[in-house]
Amino acid sequence: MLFGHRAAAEEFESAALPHLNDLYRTATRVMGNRTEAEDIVQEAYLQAWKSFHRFEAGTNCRAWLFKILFHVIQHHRRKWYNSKVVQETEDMPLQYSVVYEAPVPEHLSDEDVLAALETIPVQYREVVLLADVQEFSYKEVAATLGVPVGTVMSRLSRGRALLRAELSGIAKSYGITHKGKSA
Amino acid sequence: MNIVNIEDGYCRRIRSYLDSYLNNELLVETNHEVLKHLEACEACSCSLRDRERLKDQLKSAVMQEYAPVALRERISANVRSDRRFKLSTFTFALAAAAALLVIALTVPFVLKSRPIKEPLTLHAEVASGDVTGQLLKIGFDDHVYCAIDHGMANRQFTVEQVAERLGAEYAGLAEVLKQRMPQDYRVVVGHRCHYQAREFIHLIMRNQSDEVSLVITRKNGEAFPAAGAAAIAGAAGVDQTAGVPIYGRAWQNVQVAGMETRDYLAFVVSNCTLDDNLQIASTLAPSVRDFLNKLEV
Repeated sequence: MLFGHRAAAEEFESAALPHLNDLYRTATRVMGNRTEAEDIVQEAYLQAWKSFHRFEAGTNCRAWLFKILFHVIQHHRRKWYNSKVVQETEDMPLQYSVVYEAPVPEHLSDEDVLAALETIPVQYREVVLLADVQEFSYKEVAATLGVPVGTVMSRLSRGRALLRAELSGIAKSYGITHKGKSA
Repeated sequence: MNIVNIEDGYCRRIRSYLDSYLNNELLVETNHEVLKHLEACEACSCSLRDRERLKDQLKSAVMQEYAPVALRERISANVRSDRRFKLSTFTFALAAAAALLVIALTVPFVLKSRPIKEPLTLHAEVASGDVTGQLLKIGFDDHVYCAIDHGMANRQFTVEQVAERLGAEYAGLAEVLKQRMPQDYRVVVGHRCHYQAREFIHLIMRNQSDEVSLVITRKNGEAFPAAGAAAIAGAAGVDQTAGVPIYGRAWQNVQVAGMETRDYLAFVVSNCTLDDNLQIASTLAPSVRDFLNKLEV
C-alpha cells in the first residue's frame, strides 16, 4: 500500500509538476494576484492528485491540469464574488465595442503589456492567455473553460482587440506613436 | 497618433482574419485571399506585423513569471503525505481497528511461513561490515527502484523536461553527461526521485543496447573506506589519472561504480560489463566531481 502510494506519488509528480510554471503564470495573470494564484494552483494540484487514478496515461496531462485549474478558479469566483459582478463582465462586449483599430506602438515594455492585459475583463483575458500564450487550440480552450468553441473564438477576437486598444491608449499617454516617441 | 480607419469594407474583412491567419487557422481559399490582399495593402500588412509583435511580446512577458520553489515543495509535500485519503474520525477509527485485526491475525502466520519481501525486483546482498558494499547498494537500489521497477529507463523526456525536473541547481548535469558520454548515448531522463527517505538526482542515458544511470544523493555522514578504491579500480584496469577514487561492485548483472565528494555520493549504475561501467564512471567522474564541488562552496 505504502509502496503503491509512493509509486503513484512519483508518477504524479513526474507527469504534473513540469507544468507548474505554466499553471502559475496563467493563474497569476487571471487572478491579478500572486498570493491568490499560489493558493489556487496548490488547490488545483491537490484536486488533480485526488483524481489522478482517473487520468489516462498518454493523454494530455497539461490540458487536464488546466481544466482543473479553471474549475478551481471558477469555484473561487463563485465563492468570493456575487453573480451580479459576473453578469456585468459578461455584458462587457457592448460597452467595449472596438470601432477602429489603433496601431500598437513598438516601444512598449513587458510591464506595459502586462498592465494592459490586466485591464481586460477576465473572460477575455483568460481566453487570450490560453490561446495566445499557452497555445492551446480553440477546442482545448473550450473544454478547459466549459464554453462552446464559437464563444472562445468571439472572446479571443474581442480580447485581442481590447488589448491592442489598451496598449494604444498607454502609448498615447506616454506620447509614443506607432514609429516611436513623438518629438 | 496614426489611427487607421478600417470602416472600408474589404480591409475590415481582411483584418478580421488576421489573427487566424497568424495562427494558420484559415481555410486554404481564405488564406490565399488574405495573402493576396497583404501584398497590395501596406496598412493591413502593418496591422499584421503589429499583431505578430504583440503576440510575441505578450507571450514573452507572461513567461517570465516562475512558480516559487516553496509552492513546488508544498505541492510535493501534500502529495507525499497522501492527502487523497482524508478520512473522517469515525472512518479512520474503523479502518484502524480493521487494520489492527488483520495484522494481528496474519502477521504471525506470515512471519513463520516466509520472509518479508524486499519491494525491489533485484536485491543486493551485502555482508554486515562491508561499508563499501552498503554505500554502493544505495545507488543500486535507486536505479532498480526507479529505472527498472518504475520503468523510467523507457521514458523519453525533452531537454526542457529534464531541466525542469532536475531544477536549476542540477540542470547543468545533463550538459555534463552530453559532453562526456560516448556519442551514441542520449540523456532520456533527468529528475529527482525518492527511495527509502533519500532524495536522488537521477539521470538516465541510453544507447541501442544499454541503460546507464547517474545517481547522486547527499551524504548522511557516510564515506567510502579509503582502502577499497585502488584495488577494485586497479583490478578493472581503470585509468586513475583523473585522481577520483572509484569503487565498484556488481549484483545480479547490474554494475555499480561509486565515487564521493565532500557532501555527495555519486553512482554510475548500468547493465554494461564491469569494465565498460567503470570506464564510463571514470570518464564522468572528474566532470561530475567538479560540478558537485561548485555546489559545495
